[in-house]
Amino acid sequence: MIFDSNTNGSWRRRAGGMGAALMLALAPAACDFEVTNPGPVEDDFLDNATAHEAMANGVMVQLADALTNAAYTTGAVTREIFPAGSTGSFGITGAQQTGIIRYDDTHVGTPWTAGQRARRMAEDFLTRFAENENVTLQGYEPAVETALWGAYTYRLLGDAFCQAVIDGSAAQDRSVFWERSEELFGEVISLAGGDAAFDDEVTAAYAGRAAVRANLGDWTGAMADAGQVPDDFSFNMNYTTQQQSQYNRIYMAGANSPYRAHTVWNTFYEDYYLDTEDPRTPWDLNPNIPLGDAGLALLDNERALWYFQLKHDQPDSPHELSSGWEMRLLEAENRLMGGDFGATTMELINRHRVELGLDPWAAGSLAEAWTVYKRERGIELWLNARRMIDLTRWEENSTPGTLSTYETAGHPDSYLVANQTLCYPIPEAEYETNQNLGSPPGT
Amino acid sequence: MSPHPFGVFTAAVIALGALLLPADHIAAQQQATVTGQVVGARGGNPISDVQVYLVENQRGVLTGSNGRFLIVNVAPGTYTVRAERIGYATAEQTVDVQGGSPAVVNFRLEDEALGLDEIVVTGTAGQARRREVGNSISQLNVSEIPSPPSNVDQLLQARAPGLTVTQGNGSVGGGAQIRLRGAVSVSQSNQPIIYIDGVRMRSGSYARNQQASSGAGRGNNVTASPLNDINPSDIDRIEVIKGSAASTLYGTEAAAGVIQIFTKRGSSGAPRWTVQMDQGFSRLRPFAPDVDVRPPSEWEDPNAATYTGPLGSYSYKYLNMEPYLRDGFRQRYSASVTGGSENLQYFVSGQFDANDGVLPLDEEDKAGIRGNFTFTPLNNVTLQVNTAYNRTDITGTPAGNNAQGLTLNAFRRERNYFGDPNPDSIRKVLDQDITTRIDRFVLGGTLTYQASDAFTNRLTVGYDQAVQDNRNIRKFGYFQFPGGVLYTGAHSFEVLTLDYVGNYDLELADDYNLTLSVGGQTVTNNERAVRGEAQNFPGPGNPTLDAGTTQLTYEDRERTINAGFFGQALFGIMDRYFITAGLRMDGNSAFGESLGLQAYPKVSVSYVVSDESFWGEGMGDLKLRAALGQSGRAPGTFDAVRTWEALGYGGLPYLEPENLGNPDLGPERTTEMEVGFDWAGFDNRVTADFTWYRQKTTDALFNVRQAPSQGLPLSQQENVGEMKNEGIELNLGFALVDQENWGFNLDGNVYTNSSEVLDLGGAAPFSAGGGWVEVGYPVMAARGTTWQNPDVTADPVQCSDTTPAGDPCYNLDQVLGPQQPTFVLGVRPSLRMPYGLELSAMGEYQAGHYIQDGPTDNAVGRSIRWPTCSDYYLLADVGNRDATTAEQRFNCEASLLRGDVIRPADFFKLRDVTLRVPLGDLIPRSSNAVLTLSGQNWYRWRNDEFPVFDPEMVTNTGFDNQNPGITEHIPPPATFTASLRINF
Repeated sequence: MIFDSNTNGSWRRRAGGMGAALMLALAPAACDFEVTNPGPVEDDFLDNATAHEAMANGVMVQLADALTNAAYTTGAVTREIFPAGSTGSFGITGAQQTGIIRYDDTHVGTPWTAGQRARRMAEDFLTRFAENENVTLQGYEPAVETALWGAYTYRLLGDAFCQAVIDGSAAQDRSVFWERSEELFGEVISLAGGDAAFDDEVTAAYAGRAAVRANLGDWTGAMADAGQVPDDFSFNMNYTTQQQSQYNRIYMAGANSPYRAHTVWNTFYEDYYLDTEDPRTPWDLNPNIPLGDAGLALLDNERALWYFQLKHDQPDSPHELSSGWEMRLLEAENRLMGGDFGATTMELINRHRVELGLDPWAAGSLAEAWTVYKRERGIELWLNARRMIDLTRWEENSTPGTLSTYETAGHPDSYLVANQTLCYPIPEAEYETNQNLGSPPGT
Repeated sequence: MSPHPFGVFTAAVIALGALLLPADHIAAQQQATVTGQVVGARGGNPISDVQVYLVENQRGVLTGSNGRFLIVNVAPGTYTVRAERIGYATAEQTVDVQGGSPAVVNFRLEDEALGLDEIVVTGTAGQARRREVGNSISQLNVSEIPSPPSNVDQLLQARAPGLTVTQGNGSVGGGAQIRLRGAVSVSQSNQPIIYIDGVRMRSGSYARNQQASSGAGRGNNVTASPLNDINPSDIDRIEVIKGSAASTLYGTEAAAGVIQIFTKRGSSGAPRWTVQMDQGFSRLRPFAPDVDVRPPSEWEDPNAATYTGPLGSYSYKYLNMEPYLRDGFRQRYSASVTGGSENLQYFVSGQFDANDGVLPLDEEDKAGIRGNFTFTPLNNVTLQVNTAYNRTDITGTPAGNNAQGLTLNAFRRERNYFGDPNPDSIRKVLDQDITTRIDRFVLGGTLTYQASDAFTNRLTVGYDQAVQDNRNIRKFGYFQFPGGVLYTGAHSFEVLTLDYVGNYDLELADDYNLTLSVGGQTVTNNERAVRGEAQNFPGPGNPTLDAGTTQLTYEDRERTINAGFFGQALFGIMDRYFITAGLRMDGNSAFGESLGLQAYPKVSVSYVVSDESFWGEGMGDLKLRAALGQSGRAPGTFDAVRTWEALGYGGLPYLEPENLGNPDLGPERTTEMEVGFDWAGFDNRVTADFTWYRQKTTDALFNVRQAPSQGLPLSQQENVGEMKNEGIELNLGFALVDQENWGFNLDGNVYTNSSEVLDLGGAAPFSAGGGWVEVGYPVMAARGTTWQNPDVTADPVQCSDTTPAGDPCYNLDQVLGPQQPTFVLGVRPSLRMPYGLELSAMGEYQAGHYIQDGPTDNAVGRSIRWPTCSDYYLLADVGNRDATTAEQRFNCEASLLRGDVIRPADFFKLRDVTLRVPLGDLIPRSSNAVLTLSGQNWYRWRNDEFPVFDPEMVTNTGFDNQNPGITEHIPPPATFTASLRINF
């Protein structure tokens, strides 16, 4: 409000003032817009060998995410567990409760996305290691581990998904995943180069490849690999208590913290555990919290009894990826495929049971042998994300034997529809973004 | 324990006021004074905050709330006394001042509806008269708002066309979503940028108080707004510019519009005190149908073949929340003092707010102090220093989509996570301490140097710092986590502003003027956060992170710089034709490596038709205007760079892909054209301003999705999209009755908005902001289910080519409409009565948009009895499911429900009803006082297809979300406030 009317400056003063004003105005243009923010790791850093261990671990973490999601859904649709209500983020969708995995289920996307990321990272990292002048690939621990996690990732993708897609390709036969898995398992064995320091990794590679080869129908190769794996060998995917996103999902969804989204009630394992106390299929109940999380359409909106599984009883309970006991069962399956249900076959089926002090299964016919074999494999690999591919393989090979009514599609005990889904479809997000795919089936 | 903030701040205000008192007291001893009162010509009410000054020496004061003024220490002589105030025609009188006796001058100011000579600042190069501005600009004069606003969000609500303020949820502490002319971005914030007294402040939310490691929502799930740190009593006026045609000079970050808040300044004279006390309460209104949907097992006769009525009285109209709700006591105290000498004026204020909220643990306390000082050391230099400190303490109730929250478990009754509807069980979740403290400090200084009559320079330096401390404890012994859990977060937000503008006025010839302006600005944002969580404590107590057996920490640091300069020329002819052309050049640290400075041009024209000789006097005042301009939105800090995230996995380090990177990444650019007019006629008793606008965003930043099978991050920002927004804004005002004692005004506004995605640049359609982005549809459109034969009594199936024409079927994921309203109508009647009584109201109708109802989806999917299904239960419960329709079964049976529940969000709310009672000098020693009784949001109408909750809710992530959405929160409550303001 206060002006000095006598401050009429000269032209020179005015020009000087305007010049100063212009300089002040332009000062921002001289700003250095380079901002270094800590936190995110720039891509170049990955060429430094000190980052390679973290890179290999990165593949493992992605696989862990894919595996724990796949194991949960696989368990639900094959009735290793029974839904207990929740359909949300830790729940089992309405369709999955009836045994159907839909392409637009949110849960389908996670194992696909995480699995695809893990396998892409593994392949890119192996290339990056190979191109690194400071790295000798042979015997290079990050490379061995990267290849191993990559191989198991491909195995999971092949086991879980009905079709394969690689890098935005058209849909291919799921065997493409297994073939890449087989190749990477071979890479592990090759990179290890007989170094005893990698014995566990190599044995894990043999065990993983044996399962893959069985699914590919290469039983000769499968048996050769299985024979490399001792009975007591076990190779696990570990989870952590560090944060919820790194928890074992089967534990998290089933525990009273607070989801109670699945139960052992109304599964084969409910009575089986009561009868045998087989330590491989433990569960318990809490009389103070008898029911699951929410009403189930399957049960006329009533709630299921909440019998919580105890195989994964902690946030960091591991998932077994391969084991010697699994190999013995695979060897038994090879014999059953050949019509052999003799003593050797039954001994292979029962070997772990005997070790655990359980009554062995007996069979008077090939069909009975298949029945107990399918039963025992379900018990041995309970909640390990393997049941869908086992059921699929047995169905494709027209194997005899029956399943429990609690897991038989279309049977009232199971509440499963007759056309139960035994593999994940390609998820909706892939259809929406991959121009080489057509429309989802049924749309 | 900390000292009660009220005491500290009140003492500080009083102490500062007392310090400043003596100088003016001494000044008041002088003999010659000029005094008087300013009243409105219409109704004769006193007008406060009128600038009254002596033209000859520019010395002046502001009128008090009783319209009175006193200019002291005036040398004898003859003076021209001028009275100016926004909204009124300037008046002048000549007065002869004699030593020893006061000269009395009274003014009756005429309304000047258009205010063509008012000064506006926002969007201009420095400042401009309203007649010179070619774009629309809304100005809110807070003293004219009858109700005492509780915060700035509420102050803005329904005040201007094109300004949409979404209330938010019923928990205390949450901020409101603000949109100006809809959404201009799908990936960047659509919250406008905010300035306070020329200093850029944070417009995004404060951090949500929840666990660091995942988004499971263990907290109260609200986000506080920095805007609400500002004491509404400190605000003089607010300017709002809504689109790129007006915001060009703000550059890269201004495409969503600009809101500028001007706080009160001091005026010379003896200290004048204002104290205000507000008391009131908030109460939750019913938000679900008044039905009883308990299962047959809870009927009077559970074995009956037909419905026999419920066992005892029960209602779902609060979704089982009755046992936990309360009337939340609200109180607010504020005091301010203004005064000063010729060279130094001050405005100092303090406030204390306490709001208990309607949920049992909710509590929000605010305390703040402000000091605004105007220093004029030389007659051509003015230094304005504004500083404020605020403290906010929020205690929250666990709520929202939170499995360990009160609201979710109450809504779900017996199928909650306790399996028990008993309130004593559900109350166990209240054994959580969720507290947030925010300390906010804003300091701004503006130096104005008038180098000559023609050459003005203004330099502003501002610093806005907020420090937030979140703690979130489930105590040792907590029922679902006996070992206890602690989350803590220390956040720091800083914004540093440096702003220069220089104006040079040239008189080219008679009636031809040119104003040249240059300016430059840098805004540096610096955010830091250290968050941690720990579990399993050794015993009871108030733990720290190190006491847990497992601990986890996170750190985030993010700094961005935006800087630019501009030039502008304003050419005026005969003070009625104006052409403005300008250019802003900007750089930003988030731009890709290969991107240089970005240019944003603008041009506008303004034509004051009513100044023409051919314009008849009875035709009123008319200004035509048109503007075309660009502004932008910068990408995220790291979006341009390929990065990996380094994390830990049970002691193992690992890397995972974070961002694909794009070296060509730049800002999205919004070009806006607006055309309109401002008119006032019939002796200023009718006013109208109209604007048509069209915005087109090009190079829109879309998160382009990658096929998951690529194994890369699932999306990468690219400048590929195009979208548009268009509509009209109409503001109307009628003084229908205008008599000495009685008056009736009816004001209203209409706003429309139509948005459309024009191009995806080859990208696949994608989800954003809770909606869908696809060419030909509204921006971030809501997708839901559409039907064929929904009323047929059969099980529905998904429609396909083979579905028979008469069968019921549904189509999923169909675009239903936008998530932002397409039509908004505001109505503001006011009745002036004898003795100065004034009764006013404000209502708002919004329509044309949709909102996702998450809780219904979640509840029905879990077979929870839900009030939206009462008609279905009446049939199905008694074995008559065959009589239910396909749509009823789909919406009420868990096995059939698919897709999102989307509801039309049309609503009308009675935002405010206020009775203002002037008390004159009834209160001893006061100069005047006003009692105000005010109720907000006591009436709401919703679309019939919207049976539960409220259309103005936001999801767990708070108001930063792009669009409204409903999670398991309660809606915002209604409030009642009695306010007493006393001036001394």
